[in-house]
Amino acid sequence: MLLRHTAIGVISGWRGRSFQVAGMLALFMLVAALLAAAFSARQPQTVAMDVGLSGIRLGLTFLVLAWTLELIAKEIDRRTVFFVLAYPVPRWSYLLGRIFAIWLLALLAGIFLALLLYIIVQYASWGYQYPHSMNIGWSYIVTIALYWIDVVLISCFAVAVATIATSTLMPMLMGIMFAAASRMIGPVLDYLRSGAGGDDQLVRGFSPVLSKLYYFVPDLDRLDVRYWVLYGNLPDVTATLLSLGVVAIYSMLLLLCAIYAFNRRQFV
Amino acid sequence: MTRWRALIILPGILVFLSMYVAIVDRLSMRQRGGAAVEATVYVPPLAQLAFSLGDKYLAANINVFRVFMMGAGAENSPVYALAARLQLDAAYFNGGHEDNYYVAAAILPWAGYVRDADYILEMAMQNRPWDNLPPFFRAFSELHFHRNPSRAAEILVTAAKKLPDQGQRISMESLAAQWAERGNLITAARMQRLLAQNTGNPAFRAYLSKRAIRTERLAYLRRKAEQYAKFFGHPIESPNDLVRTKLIAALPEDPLGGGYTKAEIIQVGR
Repeated sequence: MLLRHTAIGVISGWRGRSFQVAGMLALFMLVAALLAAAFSARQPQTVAMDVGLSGIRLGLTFLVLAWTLELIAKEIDRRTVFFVLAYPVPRWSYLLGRIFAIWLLALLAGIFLALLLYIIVQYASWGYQYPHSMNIGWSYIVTIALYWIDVVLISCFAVAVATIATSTLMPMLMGIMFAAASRMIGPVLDYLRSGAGGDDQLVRGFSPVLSKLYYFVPDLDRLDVRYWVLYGNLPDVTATLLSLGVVAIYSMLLLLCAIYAFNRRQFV
Repeated sequence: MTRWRALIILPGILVFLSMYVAIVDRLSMRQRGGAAVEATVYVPPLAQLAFSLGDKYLAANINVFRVFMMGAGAENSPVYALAARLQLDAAYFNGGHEDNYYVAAAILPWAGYVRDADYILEMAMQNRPWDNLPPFFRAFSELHFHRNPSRAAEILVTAAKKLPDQGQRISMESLAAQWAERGNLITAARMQRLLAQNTGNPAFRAYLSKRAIRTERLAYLRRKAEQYAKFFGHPIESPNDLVRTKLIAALPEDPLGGGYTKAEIIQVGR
């Protein structure tokens, strides 16, 4: 039954309008990568790759949020969820099935966008070739895979919000804010630790708050290893594994909260 | 009746429109007070991060694009202050950004932002370990802006190691050897010996060893010339003055040929 829910989720996710909008946005960002390369004075292809990876990361974020909206939040809002819950199946299987569908769709979208970006980068030299070529291989696959894990966590958060939210747009908005916060927290803390460019007031005001917030907001910047693709610097394996652990535990807890809230929810 | 109304309303609208245009014209002339030019367009790094939804690489790219779009300004223009801050932030977000260090090295130190450019280049050296240009620019900054040739030569040697081609490596190493001589001669000689040891090319090693010997002898001559100046109260007229006054027995041989010039010897205090 879980797999049936997943399959139905994938199909309706493909047909949904939010997917089309977010998909257009993701494609638009890849085209922007091609144009951004024209700005580069030195290595257009690296810049195309850099901007394109940002595009994939943001595009996947919007896609999972759109699918959360389409597959869970809207179903609750339009009461179509009643028809499913009327069947003699546990509620969690519906919820988990839909979440798996979102993850699967995100994986497919990630692979598609990554292939597209790979092709775009080949044509993004704008007639200028720098001797150093990028390190596209395992590094690229790992980078994209880590982006997928990044958006898996964000989808867990958005789904957890959707199970308690009374407004359809709530999971989308909070999801965007959560994504921005969790990607920012690492660089921001580093910035404060390095002295914030001499702004003592900023350091004193924010450091105590942010260092505690570090436990509540996972550091997703650690899952961005694009410097491996762009400059060939090997990522810190221990840090990456540790942050994978953080993300796994965090997503599991979010999912448990989501299932609990969904089981207890009084639909009216 | 309707025609009469139109006759009143149309001029009314025209009057209001022309008043509106006049007011907007006046308003656009007035200076906006309260903030410096760069402060109105510069946002702090934390806000830059938030604008790019937490993606630090995107934030770095946006900053670099902004610098490209700004174009150059006149000397002492506030444009440079803004460019320096944007580029510093970009280096902080993504130290390996290729355009950032390149543009920074090309523009910032000449506009007086030497330390900012040095920081950006050092970040690039850290994050682009294979790239020979950041250490090259950094070395040049030491030589030209900090007037510290021996440090410049040291950095230039690290740049030379990153060159893929043997010939290019040799020419950059000999450039380092020449730069080193413009500073402290003892350091320069040590540097040249080090360069000689590290090269795989026998002819180049022989050249560098000779160069090191020449530098050591030049250091000796310079020391003697300083004694001469202290004793007679004026610098030497020609290197032969040292022999004439019996400060040295004879002028040392130049292993590279060509001999030692007065200008080389009395270049004191550097």
